[in-house]
Parts: sequence; C-alpha cells; structure tokens
Amino acid sequence: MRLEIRDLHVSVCKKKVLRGVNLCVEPGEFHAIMGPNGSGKSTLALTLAGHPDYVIEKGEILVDGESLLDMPPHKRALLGLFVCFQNPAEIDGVPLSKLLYSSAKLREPSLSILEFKKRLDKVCKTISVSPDFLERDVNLGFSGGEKKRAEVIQLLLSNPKFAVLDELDSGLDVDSLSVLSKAVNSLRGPEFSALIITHYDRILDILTPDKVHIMVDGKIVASGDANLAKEIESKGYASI
Amino acid sequence: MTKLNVLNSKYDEKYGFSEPERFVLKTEKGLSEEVVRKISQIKKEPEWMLNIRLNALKIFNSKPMPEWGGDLSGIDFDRYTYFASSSEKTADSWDDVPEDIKRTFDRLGIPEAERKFLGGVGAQYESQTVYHKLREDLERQGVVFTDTDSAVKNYPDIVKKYFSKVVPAGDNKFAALNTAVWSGGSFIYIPDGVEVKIPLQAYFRINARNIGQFERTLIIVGKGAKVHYIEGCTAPTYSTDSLHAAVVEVVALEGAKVRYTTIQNWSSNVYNLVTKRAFAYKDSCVEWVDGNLGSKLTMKYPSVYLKGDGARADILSIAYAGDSQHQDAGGKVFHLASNTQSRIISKSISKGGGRSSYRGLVKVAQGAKDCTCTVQCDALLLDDVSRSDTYPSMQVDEESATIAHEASVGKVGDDQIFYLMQRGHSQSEALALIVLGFISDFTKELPMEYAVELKKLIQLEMEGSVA
Amino acid sequence: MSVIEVGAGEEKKIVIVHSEDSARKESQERTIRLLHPSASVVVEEFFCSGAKSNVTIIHEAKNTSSRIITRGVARCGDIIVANSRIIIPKGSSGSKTRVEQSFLLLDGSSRVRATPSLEIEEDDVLAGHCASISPISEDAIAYLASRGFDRKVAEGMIVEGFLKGGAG
Repeated sequence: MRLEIRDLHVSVCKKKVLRGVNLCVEPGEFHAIMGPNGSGKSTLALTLAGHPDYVIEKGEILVDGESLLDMPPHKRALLGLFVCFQNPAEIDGVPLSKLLYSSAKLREPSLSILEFKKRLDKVCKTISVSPDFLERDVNLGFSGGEKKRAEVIQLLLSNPKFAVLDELDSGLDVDSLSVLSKAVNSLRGPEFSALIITHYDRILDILTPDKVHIMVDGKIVASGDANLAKEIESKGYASI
Repeated sequence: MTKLNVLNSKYDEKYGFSEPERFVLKTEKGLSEEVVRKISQIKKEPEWMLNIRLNALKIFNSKPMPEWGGDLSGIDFDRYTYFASSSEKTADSWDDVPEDIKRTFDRLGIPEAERKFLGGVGAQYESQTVYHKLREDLERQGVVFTDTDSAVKNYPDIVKKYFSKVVPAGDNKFAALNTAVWSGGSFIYIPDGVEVKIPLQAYFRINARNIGQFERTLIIVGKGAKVHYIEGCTAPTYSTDSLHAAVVEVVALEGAKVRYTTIQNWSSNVYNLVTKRAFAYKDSCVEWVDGNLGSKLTMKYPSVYLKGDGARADILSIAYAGDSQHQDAGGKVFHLASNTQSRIISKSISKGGGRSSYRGLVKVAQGAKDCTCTVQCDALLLDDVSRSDTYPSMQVDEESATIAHEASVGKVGDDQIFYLMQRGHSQSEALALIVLGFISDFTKELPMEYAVELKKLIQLEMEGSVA
Repeated sequence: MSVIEVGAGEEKKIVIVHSEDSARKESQERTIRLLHPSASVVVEEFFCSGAKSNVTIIHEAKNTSSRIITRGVARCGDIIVANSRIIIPKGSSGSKTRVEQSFLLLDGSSRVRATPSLEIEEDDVLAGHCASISPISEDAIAYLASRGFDRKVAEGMIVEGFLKGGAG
C-alpha cells in the first residue's frame, strides 16, 4: 500500500499539534519516524487511524491514491491499514480470542473456525503466548508488554497492507522486542509497508528502515537513510 | 459521654434562658398570622416583604412533615417563640460563663473564645483595628456586607431580585417556616470583578447577632468576582432555642467563585434543619465546605444547581455524630447545563451511639452534555453501638454524562492503632491521628485557625472515647 | 415481593435478568435474609431493558457476606431504576458487603436511577459500594473501528462485553 501525506495540519482539543507534515511511503518500504516527546508522532498515528478527537484542519492523506479524509475508521481498517496503539483501549467483557475471530471474519466471511484456529496457533507460537492469554478481556489489566503482544497478534491475523507501529518498543524487554520485531519483519514484502514510530534505534536494527524522518514540533525537519537514526542515537535531537 | 456534652446539659440546667434587664421585644409563643405580622411590624418592613412572609406561612401550614431523614417527632411548633430581639441566648459577659466551660475553651486553646462566645460583636477586642480596616477596604470596592434586615431597607432592589428565588418558600416545610419568620443572617453583595481577599466572617457584621434561630443569608457574587464566607466557628455554641431552621441562598454569576464554609457545633438539644442552595451560572464555581459536629439532629444537604455551561460544584462535608446525635447530611448537585463538573466528598464519623447518615443526589438533565461527577463518601464507625447510613442517589437522563460514586464503611484497624502506638503514641493519640487523617480532605480546606480548633476538638473527643 | 433466606454456611447465588420479555411496569422487590453465621449471597443483576428493582439484604448473623453486581444498559427510552439496601444490624460482626453497579446510557431518551444504600450498626464490618453511569467509551469505539468494525457492530460488542463482564 502506498501512503501519501500532504501538508497535514491536525489539532487535538483545540490545540495545534501537526503543522504541515509531508510524507510518502511506497509499497514495500519501511519508514521510521523519530522525535522528542511531544513532537506529534502519536498524533500522526491516531490521525491515520481516524480517531474522532484528532481534527484535520488542512492537508490530505492518500492511500493508493484514494483520500482517507472522509473515510470512517473501520473502512480504513478494512482497506488494510492497521495501527498498533501505544495505549490501546480496554474492552471489558470481550475476550481477546473473540475479538480476533470476529475481526478475521470481517475480512473473510467464509472463514471456518478450524482454519482460524490453525492460523491463531501459528501466530501464538511465533509471539510466545499461552492459550490463557487469549481468554483475557482485551487489554484489561494488561502489562505494557502484554498490550504490545496483543496488538501484534491482531496485526499478524489481519492481512495488513500498511502497519503503523506507535512506539512498539516502549516498555519491552530485549527478548520481547526481538520476538515482536521479527514477527513484524516476517510481513515484509512488495505489497506491505510500515511506519515505525520510535524513540530509540534498537528496534530499527531488526526492522531496518528504508528511510528515517525526524519530527519536531509537529513537522518533519529532517529525512535520511538508516544512518540518520544512528546519528540521532549518538548526538541527540539537538544536533538536527 | 464526652466532656463537652456534659457541659451542654449542665449549661441548660443552670443557666437556661436568662432574662436580661433591658427591654426585649418578642412575640407570644406559637405561630400564627398575627405573629408574622408583628414580626414584620417590629422590623418596620416594606409591604412586599410582609407579603412574602404571609404567603410562606400559608405554604408552611399546608405542607406535611417530611417522612424521611431524622426523627422530627420532638418538634412542637406551638412551643417556640418565633421572634425575640436582643434575646440573650448566651451569657452577657465573660464573667457569667461557668468555670468549667471557660476551662474547656482553655483546653481547646481558643484565646478569642470570649469574643466568639459572646455572639458576634467581634469589634470589642483586639481585632477592632483589623475589623475597621477591613470594613474600609470593602466599602471602597463597593462590597456590601451587612445583615439581611438592613439589606431589606437599604438595598431593596437587590433583595427583591434574589430573595426566595434560589430557595422558594414552597421548597420544603422548613424553608417555608424560615421565609415566614426569618430574622438576621448575612447579606453579601460583591460587584462584578471584585475579589475579596480576606474571608468574610459572620462575626464581623457590626450590629446583628450571628446566632439566629431563623437566619436568612443571601449572597450575590457578580461576574468574575470572588469571595469566601465563613459562618460559625468550631467552639461549642450554646443555645436554648431548640429549633434552628436557616436558609442560605447563593447566586454565583458568570465566572464568579464562591466558597461558603460552615462548622456547626450546636448544643445537643438543637434541631438544626437548614436549606442551603446555590445557583451557579456560566463558568462559575461554588464550593460548600460543611462541617457538622453538634446538634441533636442536623438535616442539611448543601446543593448546587449548575445552570450555566462550564460551571463547577465542589461539596466537602464532614459529620461527627456522638452520643444521641444524628447527623443527616450530604449534598445535592443538579447538572442543568453542558460541560459542568461536580465533586462531592463526604466523611462521617459515628461514636458513642451516634448516627451519621449521608444523603446525596446527583442529577443530570437531558441535554446537559458531557458532564462529569464524582462522589466519594466514607464512614468510620468507632464502636459497635453507633450507626452509619449511606443513601446516595443518581439520576441520569443524558447519555454523554459520566458519573462515578464510591463509598466505604468500616472501623479503624487494630493494626493501624498498634503501628502508631509502636511509634510512641498513646491509644487515644493514635485514634486522633487516624481520625484526623480520615478527614484531612476537609481540614486542609479550612482557614488555619479553624483547622487548629477542629484538630483540638477531635483530640478531646478521642480522649473521651478511650477507657 | 420475594423473600429468600440463606442458612448457616450456605453460599447462594441469585441471578436476576430484566429483559424485554420479563419487563414489568411495577417494581420488583426482593429481600434476602442472611439468617445464620457464615451465610453468603452473591446477586448478579442485569438490566437489558428498562425495569424497576429493589433488592434488600439483611445480615442477621455474624460473619455473613453479600455481594451485589449490577450491570445495566439503557437505550431506546428505557428507564432503569436500580435500588439496593444493605442492612447490617448490631451484632452481625465480621460481616462483609460490597455493591458494584455500572450502567451504560446509550441515548438521550433513556434514563438511569440508581440508589445503592447502606445502613450499618456494627463497626466490625467491611462495607463498600461503587457505582458508575457513563456513555460507551469513544476510545473503545475508535479502537474497534481501527480493527474494521463499524460503529453499530462495535457498540454491540461493547454492550455484550459489558454485560458479560459483570458475570465475574
């Protein structure tokens, strides 16, 4: 999936956060977005997802040439856009397994439960989660690491064309980060693209980006290749 | 029985209602149209106020007694004298006060007890210069701070505009009674934009009593203005009048901020039935800080009607019910406009056979969008002969509202007492520390001198409770 | 009005469901008496449509325990009136009670009235309650939308989960 963002201005609670973001991710590419806290990275993720609190004041978002601006969030999802949230909402009383099966059926109405179980088992082995985990209510009382696992399981089962990973690495230990990043990496292909939002370059060792962008104060102020990330790691954002 | 209660009853026996030598104007016992007319006549009121009184009397007669709340069976309306000017409900001079009462005040560490005890003509002692300066500042800013009787004569337009509009006579039987026979109370008017920096206290009023049987207080705060009013004090207030039915009406205009602090500590023969209500307009904020320590029965639910968008209400209430006391208190909030917020925190303590009840209501009207309210009511039972009730009510007619309520009832943990004793405190000190911690949300909102007095009172009460 | 008695050491579970089929105009009154030591009761009450209900639990012995879990969803003009009254008289020491009420109010024509009361005369108890009335979380709707579910389906999932969540 090709994602194009043109001069995007977004405000949240009447406060301007994104001030003219320009970005283009071609099919098959992985782009990283780095930046200090408060720069607007998560706002970008939530705007792409279509969260109602995020108001687009100006600009355009195109996915394979089609505008997302008037498209409701669930339609965006069914196009193949998947957002892994940093702080996913809790859904009391809905077990994760139920959400996974229902989501899968949305995309493949004729999917049998047996076939689904096969896919689910495979994914669970890759992510190393026990069957009990799947019976817990979605995100309810999940630790940081458990939330990320739940997001990636959903990503892997949703047949995505574009993934936005909002700080997948925050709160994860080294081993978990490795397992989850490798799982995302396994989706790499000519049709699949990803936007990796992160503070640190460790995740980018596995999810090697084709391009790295630095976001400061709601705008992309620098772009480069993977070396740019290394430069930030050693010199900090002030060096830009 | 705690020392304070013993003192209360001794005071009644020995001192009762003393008749001072000077002339006292009063009506005959009981309530009738003639009594109401006489009251209005003695006060030389304009006709419009007399009509308000007479109308209220009709409403009073037509309303039945409430069947909920405390036990009101001891009230006999024919027994009371409804008006007595300059009646000495307290001793005339410090010399007449019994020794053991004076000692209590010493123990409470209240040097100004004399002034407060003598009922409000605060200008007599060392506060005189402070008091006069305060008056000058207020006058310069256009602030009106007087008693309600004077306000009827000197500010009739303002009084006509707001009197009985927040609490109409028909609201409840005791509001009707008050509207018919009211006397005394504070009248405060703060012009737009004026911020009164020092809290206004009842005993700064120059010529009226601050212990009224049927006080009527009216506070109007202009746009963007700010005031803090303090009624009463923590020291025990001795009264032979056993029915106190007061009404307080507060109007907070756009952007105004009003805080009304009361600590009631009536003697244990008093029925304290009060209607306190505020109208909060756009972006205003009303805070009720309500402490109930005394009386035989208190029924009081300070309330706020959030009438303008963005308005806020904060009701902080504590109740302490000792032997033979019933505190039936709480708060009510009506969300009638959008984006309004409210918070009710109630802490109650029951001891020695006392009964503390929290009675609250949160109502959100349809169309009042995106309102939030949190209620927290906690109760502490200090022994197995006391009682605690919680009656919280939520009525929501608007789907965008978020209302949350939490309550707990329990006792002080033995492990808590043990821990503090192991740190060097006696059992009663430990108990006092825990109880003070329990009501800390309330005491931290009080002006320093009140917090200090309240703390000492609690310590005294806890001493009495440990064998 | 129904009265249910719970005996010594007995643990009773009572499930009350107010649905379209069972919805009645008059108020439903239930009283549960915990008669003997260590008796306990768990009441799960679900409002899937409007109804009026009063549940009273009286702890008439020591070491008794009660729990009321109420969940309700009000929509399309439903009026839910959910009252509970827990009474712990003097002498019922060691008793515990907890009342948890949560309601989702889905539209402007519906109403919720909830009064969970406590009347306690015994200090050696643990008593508490919590109640909440709120709309469906927009964050939860947005989350499910990001997974491909349209608003109506998302609401249905959340409501179903909400009612099931009460089943502990």
